[in-house]
Amino acid sequence: MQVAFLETPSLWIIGALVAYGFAYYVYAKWVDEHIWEVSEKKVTPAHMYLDGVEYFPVSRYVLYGFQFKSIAALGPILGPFIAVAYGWLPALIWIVIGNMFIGWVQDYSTIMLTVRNEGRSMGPLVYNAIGERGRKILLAYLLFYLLIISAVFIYLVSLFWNVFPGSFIATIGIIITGLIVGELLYKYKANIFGVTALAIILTLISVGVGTAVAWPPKDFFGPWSIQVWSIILAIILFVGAIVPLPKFITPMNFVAVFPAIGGVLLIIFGALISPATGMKLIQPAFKGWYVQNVGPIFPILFVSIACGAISGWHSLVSTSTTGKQLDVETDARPVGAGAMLTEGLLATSALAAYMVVSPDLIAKGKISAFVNGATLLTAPFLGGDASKAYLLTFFSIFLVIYAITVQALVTRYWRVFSAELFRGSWEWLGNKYVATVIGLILPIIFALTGSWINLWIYFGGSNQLLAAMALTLVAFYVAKMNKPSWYSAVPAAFMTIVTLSALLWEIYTFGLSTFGIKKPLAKPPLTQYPGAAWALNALFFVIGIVLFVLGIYMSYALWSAYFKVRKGEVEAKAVSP
Amino acid sequence: MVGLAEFFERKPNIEVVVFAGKGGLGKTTSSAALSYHMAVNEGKKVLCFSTDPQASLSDIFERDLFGKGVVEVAPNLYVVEIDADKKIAEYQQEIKHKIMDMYGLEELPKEIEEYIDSTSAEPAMYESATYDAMADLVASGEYDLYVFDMPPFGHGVRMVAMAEILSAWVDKITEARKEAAEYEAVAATLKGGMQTEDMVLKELEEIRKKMTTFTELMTNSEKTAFFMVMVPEKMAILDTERALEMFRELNIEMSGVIVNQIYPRDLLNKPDLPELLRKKIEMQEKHLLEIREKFEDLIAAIIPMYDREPKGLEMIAKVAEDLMNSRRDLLWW
Amino acid sequence: MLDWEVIPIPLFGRKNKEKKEEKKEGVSEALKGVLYGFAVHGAATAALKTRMHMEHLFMLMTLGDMLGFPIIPPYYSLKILPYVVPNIKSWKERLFRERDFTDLLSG
Repeated sequence: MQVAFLETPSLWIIGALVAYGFAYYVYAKWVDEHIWEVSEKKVTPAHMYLDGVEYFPVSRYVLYGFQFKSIAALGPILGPFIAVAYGWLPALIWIVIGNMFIGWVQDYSTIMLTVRNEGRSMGPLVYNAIGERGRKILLAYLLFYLLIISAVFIYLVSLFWNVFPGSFIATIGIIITGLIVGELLYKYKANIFGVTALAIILTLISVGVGTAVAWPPKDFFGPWSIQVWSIILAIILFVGAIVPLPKFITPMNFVAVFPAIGGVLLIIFGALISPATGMKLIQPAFKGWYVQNVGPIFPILFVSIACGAISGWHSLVSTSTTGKQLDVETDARPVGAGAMLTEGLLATSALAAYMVVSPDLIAKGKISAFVNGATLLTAPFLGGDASKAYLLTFFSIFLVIYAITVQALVTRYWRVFSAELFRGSWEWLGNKYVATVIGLILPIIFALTGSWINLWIYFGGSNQLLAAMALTLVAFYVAKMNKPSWYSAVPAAFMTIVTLSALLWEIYTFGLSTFGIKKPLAKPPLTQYPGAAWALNALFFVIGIVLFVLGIYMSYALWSAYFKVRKGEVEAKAVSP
Repeated sequence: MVGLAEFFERKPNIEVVVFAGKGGLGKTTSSAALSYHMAVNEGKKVLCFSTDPQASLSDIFERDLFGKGVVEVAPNLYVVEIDADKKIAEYQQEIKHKIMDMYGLEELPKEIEEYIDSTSAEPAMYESATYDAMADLVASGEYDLYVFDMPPFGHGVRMVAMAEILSAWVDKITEARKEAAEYEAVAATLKGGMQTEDMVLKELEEIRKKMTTFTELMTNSEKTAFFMVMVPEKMAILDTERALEMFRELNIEMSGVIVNQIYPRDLLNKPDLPELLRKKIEMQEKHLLEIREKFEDLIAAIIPMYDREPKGLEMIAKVAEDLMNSRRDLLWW
Repeated sequence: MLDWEVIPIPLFGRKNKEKKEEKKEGVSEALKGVLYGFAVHGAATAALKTRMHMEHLFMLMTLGDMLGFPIIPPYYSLKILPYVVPNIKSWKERLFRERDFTDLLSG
């Protein structure tokens, strides 16, 4: 059956490619040359402070791969799912526009900030702009942010383990693969190519075993299944965060890379050949300005597509590592802008996967729709119906493994941050074990409501607010250089407004239930315990307020620093003839 | 029991003898005497080692030995008097050259040069250099017996204590280094590169090996003997008590105490004895009683006060005789 | 007075070589680089960072007196000194560099 080209996801993928090409070859190039005036001759911190550990020049290809891997978490895959609740067209428009004018601007510019400021990371950059209190508040903000990321990932993995029978067994298989790989690589110094081949084979076998066993069934642990799974996950993560990096996190990361690359390539390929495979757009292009349980299209759409359009997380990657390892300034565009626009493409292809699943899957808020959509797109060229069961397990694992590896790192960061924050007073809270346990228990409590969408919006809100801060910071430094700062200030203003509004919306939503105006938001089995449901809603209300207050402080401080610089410039110009 | 002859009969496998105690009480003399006896009378190949530039072997053997390396002063009797300052300077020079060779430099970075030079000021440097020289000599295994005239610092037992500290330090540092190497290996494997042998670990292993071999020998009471040299004076008694305490703490067996500079008691019978000397002898008597009470089982030898300074081979032979088979007439109790 | 840069940092000397090869801009080189960056670079950097912490400890134990923390008699530090000369400068720099929680993120 031939399907009209326009009715398939293919056209939109190609359209996005053209838009990203324009952003990279025209707009980013212009900013690179005219605002930052990059030069191959300027010495970068990688050379200036060469220590072979943190600071050393790395080829732009390697750095591009690293940057893409570090920024391409689950955001581009999960975000479009929530955004598609308004129809696929608004989601597509925001992904493309966000990438073209905001996403790469932040990733690229924060790399340049680090390069031009002696390799400083986010904390010291903020300190230099608004002082010590700003730095402290940023730290507090990041702690909250990590908790919310943790809640999202822990909830997601637990949900998938519960929904897809066999995914847990496949996960365990891949974890064992990771342990074997770690031993082979580090203890027996085995050849890396051989180990890679083995890792891929064992991963595929794990998926096969999981599919074949297809056990345990859904809701295996009764009504509290998701919570039981989250505790099982927490135990695995606890061990992962405690043991030395090369024992768990490093090999797991290594193993997780291959299903991730494979999965992404398969989905993009599936979307591109959709005219041939007969996959049609069956989601409506537009569903409405307001969606029940999600909220109004403004601001929710803009915070829900987290990493796929713009993400504050990227600024942390850019300033903590990439900026310190940039070989020459001219590499900043391929690395920073290149990786972000590639991620935009990933988000677009994830959107394509949602375009082809039935609308009621999305309407029911079933995040597992991604797995179904990806299977639909890829099964036609991978063996048809016969391979569907295998592909379902594969695409559920694809998300689960990625979430676990990112979460293991996030738990580790939380621990390191806690140790830093509680140095001197309340030191027991910074203890390795205590901090790790807290960093796992709090997110599990957060995830208890089962209100996946609200959790995601908190994540998106805090994440994009961090992006707003990073963009304002960029505008501040660009204005200080006496260059046109609008290219960062305008997106910064937009993101500040959008994210603060989104947080306000969530505060409003949970405020209603906290003050008894509406029934608390909760899913079974929590609905049977109204007291607990109310308490969790109140907790979310408080979290919202804390995030909002911290965010308002940071935004105010950064924007006033920005305007001070601009005013200073104006006055200086007025004085000179 | 009195006299070291008996001790050596009981312990025929002794390879190292250490004379410890404060300076000026006869340590060097005892070392020289024992070495002489073992070499000349018993035909063993003996090395006598001293670092103390004041009461020097040079004086005793009436030859300039200081900083001259190993010198044979009599058949089978070899003597070395270490010039620690010179040794340190040479060592520093060696390190500097090694750095310049390793990195092909014509001049050292100023900071490194300053650091190396600054180490000579450290008192610990002097001790370490001495111990290192001792350990090297023993490791060579060229001699049947090693006699060490310990430098006065800390009764010489500090050496064993330091060996322990150093050994613990080498352990720790090796551990840190190994762990670092492990992570470096991880990075290297991931990069697909090769790893170079860790020279630091090798060097550390060598230091540790030297150290443990030496310490093991030193703490083996069948192979090593420690003698405290003292005189019948209040200060010396207190000092020896303290040293015994230290030995106990370090689990080292003190082989015995050598009481030196004892005036023959029959002097008291001389009517024309000067009052001062009489007082002195009476005082010694009191202290000897205390020594007997406190160290009785440990008293290994008794050496009289001589009418001449103990210099020259002839005189040393005499001291050796007293050291090995102490004069009964000095034991009035 | 000698320039510190003359002393090669042994571990990372090969970087320069890599850069030259890159100039060829071969597609396979580029692809290999991207894959390496994607799959391994982060882990390698993390391992190096952990190694750096170990190295801190090691340097402090050996050359602590250089910074005024005497740990052991310098006699044996000197024995090791030649092997760590290239690391001294970066060690001190790292030790005194401002360090922020956001620097801890990589890896």
